[in-house]
Amino acid sequence: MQTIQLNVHSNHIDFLLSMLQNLKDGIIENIIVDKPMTNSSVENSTICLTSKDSERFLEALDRPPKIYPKLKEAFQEYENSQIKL
Amino acid sequence: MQTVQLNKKRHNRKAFDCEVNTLNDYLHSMANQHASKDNTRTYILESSENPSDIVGYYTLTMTTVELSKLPPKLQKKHSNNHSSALIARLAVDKKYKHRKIGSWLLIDALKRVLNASDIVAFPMVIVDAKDGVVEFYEKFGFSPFLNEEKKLYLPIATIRANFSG
Repeated sequence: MQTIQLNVHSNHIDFLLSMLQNLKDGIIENIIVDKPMTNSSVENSTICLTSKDSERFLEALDRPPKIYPKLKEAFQEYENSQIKL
Repeated sequence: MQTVQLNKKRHNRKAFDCEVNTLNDYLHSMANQHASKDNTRTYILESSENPSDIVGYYTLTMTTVELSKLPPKLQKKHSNNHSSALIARLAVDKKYKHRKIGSWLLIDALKRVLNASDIVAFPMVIVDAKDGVVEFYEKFGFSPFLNEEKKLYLPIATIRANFSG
């Protein structure tokens, strides 16, 4: 018999049970277990760039800053924000 | 309107639904844990009628950008590693869609990043554009990496120039 070890946080039990029920009911065909959520692929990770992306990254740092009308407009809307929530 | 740091006792995280499971799950389960370990900060836009109701959120952290295989002339001039701010997540509840709240949250996040860069200098902000929202960031000047299309970058100097005057 194959043993599968899963590291499941208590907050995910309801989600896991619903997934298993969907599997049992045939709504989904299989469950693929990826890396645990706690090992986020983004936070505190390193982004390794190719040589082309590295050059573009440095070019962006070296050139004078550009004005982007949408960014400037969004900033002005933010400063005069009247959105009702 | 202003954002505040996520407070698990105050904010009803379970009710938040932006229709993207990964972004919902992060807020429901992980955001508070990451904040308590000083890995990320999650900022909440509350409903003015009911502050426990979450209109939208974004998460900030830092990342390292590692440059590779630079031409010799650039190797002499630049470090191989650059610290950058990272907007790791940004989401709006489905009840509040189509009201420019995503844009408002992005500007709020960029203002915080700009203030942080004045204290601990770093030259770039990166966004992790999940689930097909690359175009949303491109219209504000972010450029996608060629090899990592969902990650986009914008120099701090550009933010400063666009937010001044």
